Order: sequence, then structure tokens, then C-alpha cells
Amino acid sequence: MRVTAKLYGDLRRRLPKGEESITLVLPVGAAVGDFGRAIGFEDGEVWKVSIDGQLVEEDHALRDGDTVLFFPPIEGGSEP
Amino acid sequence: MTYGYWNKILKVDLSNQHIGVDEPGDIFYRRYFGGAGVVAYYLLKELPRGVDAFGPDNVLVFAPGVLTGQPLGGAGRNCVGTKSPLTGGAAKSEVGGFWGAELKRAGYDAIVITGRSEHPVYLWIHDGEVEIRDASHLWGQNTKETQEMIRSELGDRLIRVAQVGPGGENRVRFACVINDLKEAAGRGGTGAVMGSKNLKAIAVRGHQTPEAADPVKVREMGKWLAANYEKLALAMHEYGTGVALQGSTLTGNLPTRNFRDGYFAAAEQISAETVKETIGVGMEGCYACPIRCKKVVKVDDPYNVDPAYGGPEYETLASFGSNCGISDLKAVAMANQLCNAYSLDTISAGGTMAFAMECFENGLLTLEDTEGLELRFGNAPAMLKMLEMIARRRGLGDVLAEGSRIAARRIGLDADRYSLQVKGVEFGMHEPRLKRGLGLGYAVAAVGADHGTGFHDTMAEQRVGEGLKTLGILEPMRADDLSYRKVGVFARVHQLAIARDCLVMCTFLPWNAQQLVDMTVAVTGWKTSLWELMLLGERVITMNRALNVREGLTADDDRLPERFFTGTTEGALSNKPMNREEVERAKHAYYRLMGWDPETGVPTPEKLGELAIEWVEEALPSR
Repeated sequence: MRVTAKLYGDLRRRLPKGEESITLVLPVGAAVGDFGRAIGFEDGEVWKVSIDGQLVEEDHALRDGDTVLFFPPIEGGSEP
Repeated sequence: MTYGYWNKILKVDLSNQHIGVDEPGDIFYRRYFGGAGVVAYYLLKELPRGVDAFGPDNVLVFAPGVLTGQPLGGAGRNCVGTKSPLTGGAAKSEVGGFWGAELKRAGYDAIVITGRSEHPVYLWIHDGEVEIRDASHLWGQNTKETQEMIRSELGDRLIRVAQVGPGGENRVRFACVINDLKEAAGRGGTGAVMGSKNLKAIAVRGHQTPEAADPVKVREMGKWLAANYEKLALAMHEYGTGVALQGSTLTGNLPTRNFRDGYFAAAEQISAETVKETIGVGMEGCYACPIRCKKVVKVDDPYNVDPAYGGPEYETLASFGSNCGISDLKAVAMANQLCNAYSLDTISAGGTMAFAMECFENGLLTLEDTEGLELRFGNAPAMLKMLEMIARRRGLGDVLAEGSRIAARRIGLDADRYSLQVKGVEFGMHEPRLKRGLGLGYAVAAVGADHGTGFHDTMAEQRVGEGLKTLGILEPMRADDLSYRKVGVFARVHQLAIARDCLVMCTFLPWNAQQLVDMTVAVTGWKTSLWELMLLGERVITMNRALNVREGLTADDDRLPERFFTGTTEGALSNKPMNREEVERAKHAYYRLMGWDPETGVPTPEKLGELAIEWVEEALPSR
């Protein structure tokens, strides 16, 4: 199945320069966490994930054609 | 030989046009550093007890820091401080651009202004020379016109101007000081005080920066940032503040309709990504900064938004956008321009607007009050018209120009339940029901509901970065945790943030705590440490606390509005109210951690002694 991800904030450094999103072909039954690992996110790098306007967890099963939004932690300035 | 500072603080008394210079000496600089530290010192020393914020006796301080002017990203800033016309206590706010660095180049470490001129004036400071010049012809002008007229009459396009527009002249209580047309010392009403002194602007130009102790190391650090910012601050470089608002609203963080609703379906329409795709025409930077996070926008229809005024930061996107229920990005950009042209704080202006909208929707304000404006959430044209009325103090605008706390008293009935502020200063655009440590910071910060020096809990909910670990914060904590451990985390982060405000280093730069120490050593030659910076932060927090106590503020002023003790109407925080007893417990625990009286929050003599500021005792009530 084909699943597209949009990455926000500093997560975008995982994308080729100038790209807004990435589409991967994953086996049926793959979950959000599998997509994240395929992109190469480190533990804790992603804060929240959303599909169809709802927050989802790492074990949420993906469906063909999904667009997954990955968000970094919300800050209010840089970390000390 | 001193490094990083001139040992010259300019004193200007506008009442008698007297100009003098303090040379406070090396111990002063090492004890207070600059910026927020110098502001706190002069407010406590020179502000008579109990004066009217708009009276001639109020003190207005402009203070860069020891790093300012060095070739380091984030080192072009200055702090502005005064007795706040919103809180009655300490106001301090930091601002970027180029002005702070230029003041240092002009030969001064800070300016302390007292008195009131009989007619409008501006200061012209150039290579050590100081002139008080007539500004009658500038009075009433917007910031862009004023800057152009000053540069033109002084014949130098590179002059930097800190100034007030009509909002400051009209003493709108949340008027701010604007640097370089687009940077704001936003919070606390510094611009209203500047206007009350008939001081229109401070123009600066200079040609020499104080020498650094180790200029090679300073340049190395500057180059390191230039080589690494794409790795460390990519989103800031590409978009500036305000990315990923869809995620923010799903978590409840994006304030929506006066912090009432908790979810904004149109979040994407006001995000920094959409700014870039639609109205963005480029990015600009502040002094010596490679990151260039400042949006530049242009709109031709239906409003004329001039790129000279920059573009909206996150705080503005949220305060005039989601918090007013407005999804029209062009209108938000126009509101940003009006605030920069009139010198209004976009956070308090948007917060006060949202307050008025909720009053209108609940029948506390009528069409008669608003002169026919349907001042409902989402009505962008009405918002823009009311913003004009506030700046001009016309009609209902005259009431709202007082800020939401005083406006609520004027409107009466139960309007105060819609006034979202602490000590009279409206909330930053970060939800305390989500970020509970930040909520504590909003309550106890000396300057009111400040988001800039608190702990943004969400940054450490899943993993803890190396910078936090240097403060002894090693493990992730839930954002909604408000345990004693979280109180300690807030206390330490707040101390470092205030120390950073003494250095006046930009909070958005990816310098970690150790790098702040390293650059301070390189610039000043002091063999300083993170411990000494933390002590500095604690000292200045305690000084501001003492000033507030002296001016009559009490523990009762460290209080969050009732709204936060209920859930939002929808979204992730609909069943996540804060707990009043938990916040009170955390507040008193914080007092205890700070060495203040655990009940009253008054700094103790022991703590003043430890911080080497026994002289502050005079400010406190007799025991």
C-alpha cells in the first residue's frame, strides 16, 4: 500500500531538500511506527501524529492512500 | 581594561534636559551583566515608590548586554523596562533587530530615562554624542514615516530607530517600543510610558563595538552557527515561528476564541507554512544572525500590507488569528502591520480584542458600544476597525486601550471572567491547561502572563535534550505534571531564561547553556560558569519580585484566571481543567525554592544576602 507523510518543523530535515512530503510503499498491516522507522526518526523526535484530523498512536494501522502528518514537540523558544 | 562593555550608562532627564553618564564599574557589570539585570537595578534604585506609571518620575531603561554588538547570531538585541502601566510592577521586554547593537556601537551600555519633556522630542545618539531634538513634526506619525523623516533630516540611511507610534503617544496601556519598524519590545506597556514622557524616538548610530577579550573565539562561535544552523534550526530558517499549527490545535495548545474553545479547524490557514506559500515574499534577519527567521509579507488586496513592517510571528498569528476566531491570514497580516505602525503589543492587543469579542457575543457589549461593529469571533473587518479605534482611543477603543483587566472593570457585570491575563498582562499564545509548568510560570512571573521565560513542558514530554540535562533535568515528564519536581524544573529553566535576558541573547537561537557561558567568557574575559549565570537569573528574578512587593503586588496577584480551571468547549483539553489547589501548592512550593517567604512570596533577608543584593531590603516591607 502507498502511504504519504507530511513532516513539520525540524522533522523536515528528513526529507530531500525542497520536498514537502514523502510517499512510501509499505506492506499491508504496517503501522504508524513502521512508517516512522522507515523514515529514520529517532526515539522521541516525533511528538504527535495525525491522520484525517485525529491524533493517532504509534500502533495505529495504516491504510492504503493515508496521508500521515508528523509533528515535532511544540516549543516556545529553543531548548536551554 | 574592560571587554564587552564601555562602563558608560547614559542618563537623560527629560524634564530639565540634563544629560549625564554613570560609570558603575566592573563589579556592577559582573553582578547584573546588562539587559534585564540593568533594568531591574535601575528600577529599584531610581524609581520612587508608588509613582504613577505615566508620571514624570517613572524610569524607562533601554539595555543591551555584554554580548550585544559582537558578531554572534542573536546578539543584536536589547531589553526595555519600566514600571508597567498594566501591572503597576516591573515590566521588561526584549527586542531584536539592529538597534541594540547600534547603541553599543554608539558608545553606551544602556540608557536610563527619567522626567517628561514639555514637548515631543527624540534622542539622537551618535559616537558618544547625545542630543535632545524637537520631535513636534514627528508626533502623530506612524513608525515608518518617523524612521524615514529622522534618517532624512540627519542624513544617514543607516541610523537605527527605537520609537513609538500613535499607540504609545496615546498611552494605550499595551503600547510597545518598536525597533527597526518590525521588532517589538512587546510586553508590559513600555511604549505607553515612552509616549507619556513625550519621547518619540531614540535614533542611534556608531562605529565602534567594545573589544572582546578573545575575538578569535567569538568569531569561531559565530562561524559555527553559520555552518550548523540548517541542522539546528531548519524550520526557523525556512518559515520562522508558527509552523505545524494543525498539530498544535489537535493537542489543544493553540488558543482559540479567547482560550475558550480548544480547537481551531482553520489552523493550517494561519500557519507559517501558509504564510510562506501565500503572502510571503522572503525572510530577513537581525544583526549578525544567519538564521534569518523574520517573515516578510506583502498583501495588495483587500488590504495594503507593506513588506517594510515585516510579517506576523507565531504569537500574532494566534492572537489575531485563532484566538479571535479569524482564519483570514491577510487580515492577520494587516493587524500585525497596524500594531507595528502604531506600536502596539500584538499579544495584548489580540488578547484584548478576543476579550471584547466574547463580551459582545455575551451581550456585555452592544452595537451601540461598538458603533455598529459586529465584534464577533471571526469578523476580521470588525477586528481591524476596532484595532484602529484602540490606537486612536476612539469610542470603545478608549476603554479597550486600557487592556482587558481595566476594560472589564469599566464594562462591569461579569466581564472580568473573559479577561485572560495575569497582573493585567494578557496571556502568551500557549495553553496552560496543556503546559502546566508554563501555567505556573504565567502565574508567578513578575511581568504578568509571560510565555518567554517559562518552561514549555511539551519540549521534554518524550525526550530530554542535552541542554536541559546540563540543568540536571534528565528524564521526560508529562506536560500536565505539576509535581514538586516540575516546580523545580520551571524554577531552573526560568532562572536560565532570565540570565539569557541579561545577556539579551535571542531565545530562538540554538545556543545551549554551555555555549552561552563560552561566549560570555570569550567576550568579557570573565572566567564565568553556568552556576554564575543561574545565580544571575535568580538574582534578577528576586529583584523584580522585590520591586513588585514594594509597589503593592502580593501573592494574590500570582493567580490564573478561572477559565483555566474548566476544560475547553471542545478538543483535546475539553476534559483537562487545571486544578486550583495543585496550582496554589506549586506556587507556594516555588516561593520556598526561591528562598522567599513561602506564604507571601516576599524575598527573605537571607536570600538577598546570598545574592549579594542586601540593598534591596530597603524596598521590602519592614518585618
